[in-house]
Amino acid sequence: MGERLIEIKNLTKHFIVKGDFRHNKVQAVDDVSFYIDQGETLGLVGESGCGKTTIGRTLLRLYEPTSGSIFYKGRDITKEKMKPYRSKMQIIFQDPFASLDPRMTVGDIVGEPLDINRAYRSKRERSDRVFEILNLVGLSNEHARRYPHEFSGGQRQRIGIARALAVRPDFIVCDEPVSALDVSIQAQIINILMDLQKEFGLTYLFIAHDLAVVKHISDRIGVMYLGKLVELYTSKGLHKNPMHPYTQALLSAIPVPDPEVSMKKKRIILQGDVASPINPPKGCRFHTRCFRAKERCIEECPELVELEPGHLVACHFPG
Amino acid sequence: MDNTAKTLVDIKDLKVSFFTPAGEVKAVRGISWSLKEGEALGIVGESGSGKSVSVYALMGILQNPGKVIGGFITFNGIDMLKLKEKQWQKIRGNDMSMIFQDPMTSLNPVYTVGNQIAETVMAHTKTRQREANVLAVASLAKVHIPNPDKRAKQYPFEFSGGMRQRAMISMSLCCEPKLLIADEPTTALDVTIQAQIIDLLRELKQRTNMGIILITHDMGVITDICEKVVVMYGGQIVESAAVKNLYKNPSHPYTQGLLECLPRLVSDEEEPLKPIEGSPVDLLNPPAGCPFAPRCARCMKICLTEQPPQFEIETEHYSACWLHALDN
Repeated sequence: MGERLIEIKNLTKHFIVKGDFRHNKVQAVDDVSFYIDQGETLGLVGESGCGKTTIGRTLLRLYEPTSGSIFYKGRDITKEKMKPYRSKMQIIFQDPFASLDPRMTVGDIVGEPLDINRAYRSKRERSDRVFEILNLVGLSNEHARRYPHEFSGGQRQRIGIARALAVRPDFIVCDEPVSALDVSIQAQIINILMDLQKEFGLTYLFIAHDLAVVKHISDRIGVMYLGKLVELYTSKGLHKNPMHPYTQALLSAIPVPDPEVSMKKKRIILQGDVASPINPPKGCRFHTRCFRAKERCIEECPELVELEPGHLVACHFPG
Repeated sequence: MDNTAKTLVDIKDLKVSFFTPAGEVKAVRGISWSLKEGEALGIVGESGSGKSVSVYALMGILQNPGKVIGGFITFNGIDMLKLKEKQWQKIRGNDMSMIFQDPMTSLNPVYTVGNQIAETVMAHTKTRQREANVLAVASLAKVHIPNPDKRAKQYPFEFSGGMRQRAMISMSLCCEPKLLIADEPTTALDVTIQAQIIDLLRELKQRTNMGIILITHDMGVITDICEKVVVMYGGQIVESAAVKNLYKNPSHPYTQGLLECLPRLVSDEEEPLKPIEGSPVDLLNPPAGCPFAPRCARCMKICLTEQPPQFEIETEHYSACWLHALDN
């Protein structure tokens, strides 16, 4: 692994609830720190509302952080103008139907980042570059003249990837890039992302709720629950030796498409629902659903501690 | 599973088309399957494979411009396609009921949850409002909703996603149906909540003797609940078998591809995934031969022109692929 590319320290993002006279805040992300090395993929998993997308967007300063800092190549960019960094840090969105402008041709969608960054000298150079990028993601030159509605979901996601790649970024936030796709198409997109990473040495923050997909593509995985990072470890290690009760429940809850494995598997079924991030539970945020919760968990919020090298867990009673 | 159980649903050569301005979209192109009492059948397929449309036809809730253009549907010994709308209404919600993918939109936001369940009960039985309310609370308790008395008086927006799906399930069960159709019941839910709902469905299946049809794109969910599985592609059944046999011996290239392209949690190897190349079928102009032929790595000449029949691989295990003709 190379140098440290992205780092966030104590990142917090609270949203103010509009029209609420009690000035309630949605504590979407609370005091999260992690780093991503050059060429590495960090996976981020968690259920809806746990703040994984908010982290991705705050990291690119599409949302302004409430507190904490963001570093790019060791430089604090929390307060800086983002324009020079935009071409280095890109994003791929979940919904390939909503994230492409229906009135622009594919050529213009992929070419627009080039226009903004004045990345070409002649029209010829622009179209050459557009074709080159389209070919990279498995689309052909003639696709450039078409409009998004002429494409299937998987092809649109390829266009989204092409757009992110156009400006030659080092870092891409992949925000649930395969969740909206059929399983047979998911594998195509995952393979493209992994091939591109090898070819260009890209660094990914891969956000998804499907642990199997995240495990496949990531070097390390962070598990989030209600705005907090509860566990972080290498993807192999996390599956073999999960220490946080939430990670354990999450892993056991995934249905396995094999009756023999499925029968043997021990299941932990969590009771209840995720609490609201507006008034998250005091102490450990997971204690309302935790099967190991004791009194200490209700009062005291556990810190993220390094149990073994590289294995961070936020739990009073890990194991 | 005992073999003496009565056949509950029998579908033969069902064809459904949507007559759109752009032309006839052949959503379901001649499918047959049957379901016994107390049995659970899983229907897997990608979006546009016709899995939902086929059960909408069974429920009689196909929307315009969709029409059943051929085949037979028998439910509990009744020829469903000959029924009038009034007769459908007696069966729907009473003998067979359905839960949908999105629990947010399938409940009415302006009535309390208890009210909506009571309404179903009153529509099908001679029950007064007061008794129906009691039944509604009882049926909420059956799906393990805590404080059912209080919850029955609340509106859907006060429920979380998982709770809404529970409420939907309790509503569909309040008339003790013989058949429950679940159309992607867990797709909109988080994994830990999905596990709760799967657990609930399994428990209900053991407690009652109803038949369950589970539509999903997740092969994992099928293994957890069903005994039989039907794989659909491009409006046709490509493979059908007992769940055990399908996973042990997937025979159709599409089923094999579907199982292979899933990232595995258990494996340690860092192999690239094996995707199925190409895009799903265009049902406006379906291919003349096997629907999967354009994406199939083992496609032969005959696959492009002739539709393959169902070959029997082992007992009650059928696969529609010309490759099996070579084996015999």
